[in-house]
Amino acid sequence: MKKSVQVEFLPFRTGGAFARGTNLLDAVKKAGLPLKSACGGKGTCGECLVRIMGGKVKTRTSAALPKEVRDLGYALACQTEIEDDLTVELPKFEEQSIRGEAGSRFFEDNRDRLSGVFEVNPSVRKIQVLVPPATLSDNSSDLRRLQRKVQKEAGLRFARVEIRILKRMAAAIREQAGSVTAVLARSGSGWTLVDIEPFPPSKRLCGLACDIGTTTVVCEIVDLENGRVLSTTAGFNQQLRCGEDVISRIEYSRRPGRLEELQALAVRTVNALLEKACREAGLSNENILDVSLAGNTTMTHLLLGLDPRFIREEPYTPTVNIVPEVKAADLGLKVNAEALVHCAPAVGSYVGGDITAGLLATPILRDADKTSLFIDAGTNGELVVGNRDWLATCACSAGPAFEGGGTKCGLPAIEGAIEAVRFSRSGGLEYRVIGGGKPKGLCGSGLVDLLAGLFIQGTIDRGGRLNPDRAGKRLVRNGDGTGFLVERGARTFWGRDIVLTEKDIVNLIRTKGAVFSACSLLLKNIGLTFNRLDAVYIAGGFGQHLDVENAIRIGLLPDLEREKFHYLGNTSLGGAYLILLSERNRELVNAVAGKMTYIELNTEPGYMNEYTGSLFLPHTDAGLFPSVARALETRKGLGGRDIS
Amino acid sequence: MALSGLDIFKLLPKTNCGDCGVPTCMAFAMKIAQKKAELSSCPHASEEAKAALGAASEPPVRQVKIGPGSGWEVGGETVLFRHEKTFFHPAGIGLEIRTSWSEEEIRECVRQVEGFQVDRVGEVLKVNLFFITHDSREKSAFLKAVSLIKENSSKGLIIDCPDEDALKEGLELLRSDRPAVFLRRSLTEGDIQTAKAFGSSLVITAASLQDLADQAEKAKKAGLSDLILNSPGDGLGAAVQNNAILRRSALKKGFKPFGFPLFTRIAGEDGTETLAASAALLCKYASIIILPRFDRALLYALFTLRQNIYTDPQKPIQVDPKIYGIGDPNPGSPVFVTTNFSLTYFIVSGEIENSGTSAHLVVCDTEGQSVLTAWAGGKFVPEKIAKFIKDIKLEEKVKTRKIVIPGFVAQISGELEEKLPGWEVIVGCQEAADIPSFVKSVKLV
Repeated sequence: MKKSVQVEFLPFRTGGAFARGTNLLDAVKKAGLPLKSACGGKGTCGECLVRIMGGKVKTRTSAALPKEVRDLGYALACQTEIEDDLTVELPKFEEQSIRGEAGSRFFEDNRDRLSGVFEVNPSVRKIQVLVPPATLSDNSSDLRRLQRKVQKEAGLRFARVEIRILKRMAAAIREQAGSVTAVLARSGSGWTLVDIEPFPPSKRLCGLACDIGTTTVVCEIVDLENGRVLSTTAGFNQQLRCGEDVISRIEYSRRPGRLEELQALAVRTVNALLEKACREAGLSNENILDVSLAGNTTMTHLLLGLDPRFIREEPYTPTVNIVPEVKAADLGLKVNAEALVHCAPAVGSYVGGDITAGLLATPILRDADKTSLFIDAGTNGELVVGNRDWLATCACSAGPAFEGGGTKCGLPAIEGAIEAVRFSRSGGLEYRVIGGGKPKGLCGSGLVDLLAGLFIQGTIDRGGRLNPDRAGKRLVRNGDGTGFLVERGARTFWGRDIVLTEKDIVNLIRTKGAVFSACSLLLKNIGLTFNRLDAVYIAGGFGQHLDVENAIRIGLLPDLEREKFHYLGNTSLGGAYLILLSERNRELVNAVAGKMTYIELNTEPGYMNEYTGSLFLPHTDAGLFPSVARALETRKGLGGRDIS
Repeated sequence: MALSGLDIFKLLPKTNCGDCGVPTCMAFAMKIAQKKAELSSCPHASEEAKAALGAASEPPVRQVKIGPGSGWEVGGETVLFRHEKTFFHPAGIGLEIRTSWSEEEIRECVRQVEGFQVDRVGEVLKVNLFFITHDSREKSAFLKAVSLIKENSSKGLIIDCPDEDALKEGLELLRSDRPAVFLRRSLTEGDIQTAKAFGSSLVITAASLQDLADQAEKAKKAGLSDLILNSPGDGLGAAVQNNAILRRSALKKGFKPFGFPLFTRIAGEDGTETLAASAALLCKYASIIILPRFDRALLYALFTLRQNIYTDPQKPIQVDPKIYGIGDPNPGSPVFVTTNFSLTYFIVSGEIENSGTSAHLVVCDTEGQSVLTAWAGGKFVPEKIAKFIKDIKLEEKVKTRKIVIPGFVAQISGELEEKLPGWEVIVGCQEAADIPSFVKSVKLV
């Protein structure tokens, strides 16, 4: 028997050799993966959950894991010893399936209203020409004849030619009696001949639009001849193992070799998704001739391998905001060797290309007389207010409470998460689980519903404390303090009670307070009040299932007419797509970045004031939320949203 | 009326050229609105913009200076409530001196006032003004009082002198001292001339709010802008109400005749009543409060109240970065590390106290930021913490070689240990509230 065995961890596709009998939690830690264990390996907290996908282990049974779950292959890493070669999945980072059907249709339904234009005008073009054969009277060179013809047919002049292509030119032109397809790419102000093929071309002309998030990366392959999306893939950013938020990654990058590691992980993430997307679309990587990336400032820096350190330190200056074009091959992206990468420009350290690109996928820039607020809320929330004439933006660190972090019962919006909650008139609690199975916990929208319901019912007070009398049988007191029982262990996926503790409530209130106070300070800086807003556009995964009414009740969103709120879906990806689609959008996004006014909340003296005021349900100043005050008076809001 | 950033933006060229030193026109407009920049920095501003902004940039409440040198400034406020932004210029507290008093009595009062100051949270608090009431028949007594105060004090003077000749002679003595003249009756052409001639400001008194507005308008038309309003009406209730009306009209309605500092004189013998009245008016917009006599207890209370009201609520309050002893620590007691945001300090020190453990609390300089904010901003990071611990020579002051860091920055523990050879870093709890149970469960020394 071999002494050392191989363990592979998914979805990170990393691992190593370990001695037989090694504790699996120790192995996870050695591999540098971010799996937490609150109980210190005693097998009681259930946090170090893994799923054994293949191989042999020895595992002790634990009360924290019911039999039916164990039967599905789940185990607690701390209670497991490695017996043989293993493939282990960390469910916390489980591949997220894109829930297209539940996504926003805003992008599709509002094509004519969006700031970016829907026109196929990419910066790589395919031009079919018939190059006339050389004659004794016109003995111009092959290149010259091709240049003339391309200019005549498409009005494009190209001066530069890749040497690789030049070498094939004579043969390519003669092969089909002069009938060729020239592929031109714009770089800087001019065009370059990047490929020449006989007619009909064997390759399709495609591009990659990619949203590089701190947590999730989404790739979309687009046919650049008609603008159609051919395939979409999404997955976790493999940098997650180096820290879950941007600050942790900046901190991580400070040691020698680490920046290169982060760069390689980002590229590996994109390449893996790209390969899958190409496979689904039946394409080869060679078909991808243009790349459009949208990511926050730190992600863009890390992908390019730029030192992100100064993003975080006063006065918060990135190396680049408007990123020059770079060759995809220089970064290690597995696309056509000639493809260029266009990164959406950043405005500042904490407002990046995901936001500038995102604006293209909103109607904000179309309006001159309306003023809108754009909220891209995730762990880091970014806000933009303005219209065609002016834009102001700021970032706020909201914390991960609505994305499953920082709360005991929280989950990302994955299968098994409760995404909607409602209280019936009799006081009963109903909920809807993603995927329809037994619940594992609550995702952001479910938490918002729960908090709003408990507040309107009077089960929690304005400061977030539970009223024991009103909580009745659902009141729980244990090592985590006082809490509200959402579901009994017997009916949950993990066999553990799902409890919303008072600590969780405090965290949720802090998060919603951070978002709301940043919105209100941003508006104050401009000299606006909420009621002057004509629309509020919400983007990001967080907003997907958010119930606006409940979000207002807890004071996360301002108390405005409900029809002013619109959910837009993944605007960063939408923007990356638009930039890929048309050069006009690329010019627009650079212009937008130039005119956005960036407000640094870190240095804003009034922020603490606003924030502290927001640490109540819905707010210290109840006058800001008249509809919530009415609902509290009548307690009529008990019905809540329809979750059927 | 102050213009908002958006209002100002509409007057700018909207080219985002950056010639003003700020990246965008909107950023520049916001700076102007916050009075951190002036329109003159924009080389492309139109005449129309200059005219519109000129009128709007006049402060809603004028700032008036009384006294020699840097003097004491009052007014200049922009909000009705402190929490909306901050109050800028603490009310001037003054003592009344009567010319009917004997020279000895006057000297004694000046001596007491000059000798009294309170040191409170790093600030020195003092009386700021004298108010002379000329109630003797002798011109000489008035002039004597003026020169006595001038010789023995550098505080500003407000003069109530019905004898116009005496007043002029007195003002002659105070030529470069920027005194204020208190008028018992309606403003006359002569008052305006005198004020202009001697560079003094005027405290105007009226029978009604309407009358006050008319007089202020008159003075302004004559080119006098250093005015102080003595609010009409008898009794504390009326004074508070009128002050509120005056300030609200100036700030919310942009009513220019009321856009001046407010004057209050407290009368009466009863100490408690005097305190109640002065405290109420200090809260409700009095820019100058004159007290009838020297009273340490009363002044101490007013100083404290004034300092609290006029402290900028937007600035994070910091504590001094150093080692604090919590309870009764000895060199063998455990060491906790945190940031110098005052709330953080108070909560952490309070919970250590609650735990019943005596400990050393090392408070690092994070410019007043809390733990996670400071960490995110690179101010509470291993190199800086290690440097601070070396600078304060912690290893000479304690026997233990373990330090406890906040649980929220668990990720820095490894690097901190590398930067602090010989020290063991213990990751503490995330919330201060859990310190009492934390100290029981972990061996800290």
